[in-house]
Amino acid sequence: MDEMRILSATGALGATPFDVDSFQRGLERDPHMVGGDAGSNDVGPYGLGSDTCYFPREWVKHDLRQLLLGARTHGIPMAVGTAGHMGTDNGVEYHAELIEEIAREEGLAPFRMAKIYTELSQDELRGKLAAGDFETLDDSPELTEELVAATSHAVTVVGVEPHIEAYRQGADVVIAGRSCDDAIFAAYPIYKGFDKALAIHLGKVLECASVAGTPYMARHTMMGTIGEDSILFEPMSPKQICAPVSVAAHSMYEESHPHYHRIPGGLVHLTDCTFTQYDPRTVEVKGAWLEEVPVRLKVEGAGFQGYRYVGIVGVRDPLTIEHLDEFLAYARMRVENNNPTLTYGEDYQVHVHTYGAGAIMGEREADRSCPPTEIGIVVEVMAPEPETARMVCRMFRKTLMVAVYPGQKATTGKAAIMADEELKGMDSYKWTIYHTMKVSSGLDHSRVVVDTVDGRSSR
Amino acid sequence: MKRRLVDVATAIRSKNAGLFRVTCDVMFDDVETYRKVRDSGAITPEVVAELYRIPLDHVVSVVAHDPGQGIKVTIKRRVTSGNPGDPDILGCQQHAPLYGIMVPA
Repeated sequence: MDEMRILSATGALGATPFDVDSFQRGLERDPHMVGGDAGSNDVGPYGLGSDTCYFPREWVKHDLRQLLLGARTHGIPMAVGTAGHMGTDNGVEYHAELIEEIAREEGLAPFRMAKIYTELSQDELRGKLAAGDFETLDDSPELTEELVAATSHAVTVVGVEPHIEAYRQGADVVIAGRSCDDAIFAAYPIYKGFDKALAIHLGKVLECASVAGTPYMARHTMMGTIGEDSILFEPMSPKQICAPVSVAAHSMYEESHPHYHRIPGGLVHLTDCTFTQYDPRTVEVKGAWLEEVPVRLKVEGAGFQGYRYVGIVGVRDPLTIEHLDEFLAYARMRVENNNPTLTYGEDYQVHVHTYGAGAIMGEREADRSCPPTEIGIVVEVMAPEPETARMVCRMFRKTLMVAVYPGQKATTGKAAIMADEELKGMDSYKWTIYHTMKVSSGLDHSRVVVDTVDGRSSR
Repeated sequence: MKRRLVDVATAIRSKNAGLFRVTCDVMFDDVETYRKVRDSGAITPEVVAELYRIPLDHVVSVVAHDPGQGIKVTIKRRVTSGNPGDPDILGCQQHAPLYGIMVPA
């Protein structure tokens, strides 16, 4: 095979339904494989910690149906990584069950589906910790028994190795747990003998699909082609092109350093890459090379933090805005005085988001010379007991409404409310593990299970 | 003559780079503009630290990337991404202070 064409349907499978037209346009080009990245650690620890996919089932099924029908019609492999968005074993089962359901609905002929499980049990985590196999990553703290015990769910982030193993075992459809984004697209060309560094670079650019094109568009399909010494990118929406800068920019997307891309067992060097306009819509990239390093796998874990209630109030009174800090300090004091048996920050947490007055940047915000006209305050409270969270949230919010400050004029209420009742939030989770783990190979701590799916058998 | 970075760059954006860092990409369509800004020394770790009011060692790196015609500014996050209290889980609104940097035009 001289070249392999790989279609990345969307940057976030199931997050919003992807564009069918640009995907169909891609299928007309006879790709050798289709895939989609379903997950990320980018949106916080809730999905992993709670072990739930919170995307609408209908959307996930829509995206999987398009991919599956495209793949089966063309007789080519399909791969999904970080199934269910969190990539736990339940995420894999969820996607696999949807695949079976779609196969039955569409009456698809038998095909082989690989499930790649990457979740780690408490026992495995404790064993690896005791063996001293974990190292911190970026600024993560040393891993401790307490952090492991506080972990609800943990996953290894696998590279291409288990994906390649799935193809070796004859998989037509790969539903993988937590995976490096690039591995979803890189594994098949590597399995077929293409250069590993180029394949990883291809996967790195393809993982967000149309985001590597210009103008900026999400949830549209991108075609990547790998040859002997170069990779090509062409967006499948007619409203987009790839430009050298848009592809090069995506090569450095979400990376601390633009010149390197870390994978399990390797460092892909991008310093020497060239990005050239191959035709009006396509960019050609050359020059990635791989430096092999000892294999370590990243592990992510998240744990339950508390039940959550949310209160939202708005402030328009300029005198109140002028006294905002006192106003918030008063609310906190009143919450503490009214709950003497509970310790602020321990038995409950209060996070006050003052939108319009530094919520997003906090102390990193520059001096504001003119005060905002209005401020939205979101009071977010977490506690181990739901009733504590609700009570503290109400106390804090109601206090904002009746706060007193010198020179006040308004005596009916200091804040506007859009609901008097507390709003029940989803449970709160926090990251507990973000470390690398020593392994003997990239296949360690994942399981590949291949079964036949027959959409024509009555079950 | 000098102009604000926001008026000469094609794109200025921020995004998580892992759970503990936010990385800002300042990108240019025009290679001449890119080189001028890159060589001007207007974007340095010291400038970034001052703009964000953070200690210099919270600026992880400021790196120019010639193939991408971009300058990458990576800083430590205020709150771990998505942990309780984080107001910007994706880290996609942390780039705004860069807009006002004065660069040669």
